[in-house]
Amino acid sequence: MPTYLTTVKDCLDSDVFTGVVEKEFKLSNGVARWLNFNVITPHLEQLKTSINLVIETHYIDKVYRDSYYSYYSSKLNRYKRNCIKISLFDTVIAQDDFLDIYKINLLSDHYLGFLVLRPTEPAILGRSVISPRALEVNDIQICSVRISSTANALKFKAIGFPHSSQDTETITCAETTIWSLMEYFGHKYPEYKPALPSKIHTILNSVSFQRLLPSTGLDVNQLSYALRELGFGTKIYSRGVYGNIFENLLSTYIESGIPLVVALDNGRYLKENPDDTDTNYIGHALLCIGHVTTKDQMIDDLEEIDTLDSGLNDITKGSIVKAFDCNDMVREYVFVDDNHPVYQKAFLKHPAEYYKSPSWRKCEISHFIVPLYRKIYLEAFEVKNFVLGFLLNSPHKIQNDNEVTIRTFLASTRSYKQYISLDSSMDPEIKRLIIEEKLPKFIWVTELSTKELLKSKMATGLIILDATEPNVFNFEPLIMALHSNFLVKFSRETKSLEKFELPLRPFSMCESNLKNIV
Amino acid sequence: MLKEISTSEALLKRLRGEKKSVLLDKEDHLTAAESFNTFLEKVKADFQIKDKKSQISASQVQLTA
Repeated sequence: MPTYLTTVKDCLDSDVFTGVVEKEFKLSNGVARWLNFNVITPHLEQLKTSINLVIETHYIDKVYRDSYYSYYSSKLNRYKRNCIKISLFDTVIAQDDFLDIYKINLLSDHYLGFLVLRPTEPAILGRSVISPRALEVNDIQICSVRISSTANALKFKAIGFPHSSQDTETITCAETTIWSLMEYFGHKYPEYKPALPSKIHTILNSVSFQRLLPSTGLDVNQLSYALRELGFGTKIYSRGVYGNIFENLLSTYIESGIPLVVALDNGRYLKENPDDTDTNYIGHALLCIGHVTTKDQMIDDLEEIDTLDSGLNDITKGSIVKAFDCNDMVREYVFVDDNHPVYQKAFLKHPAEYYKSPSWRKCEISHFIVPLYRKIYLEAFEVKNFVLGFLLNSPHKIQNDNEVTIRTFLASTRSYKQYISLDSSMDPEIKRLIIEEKLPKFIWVTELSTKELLKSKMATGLIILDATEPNVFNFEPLIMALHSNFLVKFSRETKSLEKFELPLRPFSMCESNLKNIV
Repeated sequence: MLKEISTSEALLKRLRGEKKSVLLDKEDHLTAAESFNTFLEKVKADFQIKDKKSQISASQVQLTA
């Protein structure tokens, strides 16, 4: 079984992959050359040129084999069964390194993931897990997972987000998105399992009135149904329905470290421009998995929350608190798009700006689906309103003339208590109050700060809500609120709030949901 | 020997003893709480409509590209 060593630089400077693809997939030189420059090169161009590649042939890829046995093998056209695997290392490697027990740790430290080429020309880019460390520009904070892999007979862990291009016959964008999401959750949490394409089709059979192969795509509800069947408590948000707060809600879930299924379409443009016959309808599913790192300018540019817009004007009469929501920050988000290399960056207002086609560039995010844990009953829209209402008009409201920034996210109690335990900036008394509190599996956390403190990632207060409590009335979801040197706790026995004097110095913000992998 | 290491209950008890705690159940507190509930009632009603409408509109978007 031929195995090769090369570098990204060599691949970009010469026709390395043309020869490999020509030989392994038995394609003509012209076709292999076209695939090299049009399909493989765009994925290599975003990587550091110094990265070393190990290319293995005759690789058995579980995802492609699933499609092969459920579909491709039944066609007259003969498809090869094996794939090509490319493993990435950011160190110079020699053939003998893989046989040396003393080199295994060095190789593991420098392993940056893999990508697979499958024999489904022209859509030959199969699954991949590439570490953001391999990127030429790594300024992103994303949801990431460790996935076991091998390179030249040795076992490694790839850290990144699973990606695959669609093969257009067994998996289109919708199925690829479900696969990618399940690959992430299945490897990260014991509650979920990865789902191969045939399993996804089996689930969809029960809500489909016609055959699913060859695939012609899904609608947003079908996609949401599949995720529900795979174990999530899904929620759908529509831009047309939620209006101005739509992007804020999307940002809230991203800050919670939950990869979102995003539906892009140009339906609104076509409706508003019926005379534009050059633009075809496009509907596309992709994942949003994080955002670029926060810059001071983004914080400076934050605009005050419009209480008129949120319907809070009735209860904030006389309040002159300046409130800013970090989820309104204008910045690029990170997408996993099966038509492009992994980790594409775009603003929420222009989510298809990395596409060249004018029809694509007219797309907007029309919906997003949140794959929530089944027992999270309190969702973001109500949480955001609860927090704003609590801060601006409740028995423990923020005092007038103050400035407050709010940053809201979901967190698992396990992760949040670990962060609290290890945070050296927080008073031990406050730490114990939080760690010893009875909390559900998931909580909503709102960190309070000011624009200046936000730049140094420090918070001045926090509100913790019970994510398993959908009844928002009478402070039911409130577990504790800490700000302005007071602690407020809601007693579930007496159904009343109790306020304690408790000095609170600034503490580090929790950033464990999204990681900048360096 | 069993040694209790949790201290938060003792802290709250001490604060109560030092008169550094207050129940927010006075008339002005209850008025603010009522106003907060009224606001949340509107939010809940708004959310329920938005939630259903989102589902309806989702069935119109075909994801094929």
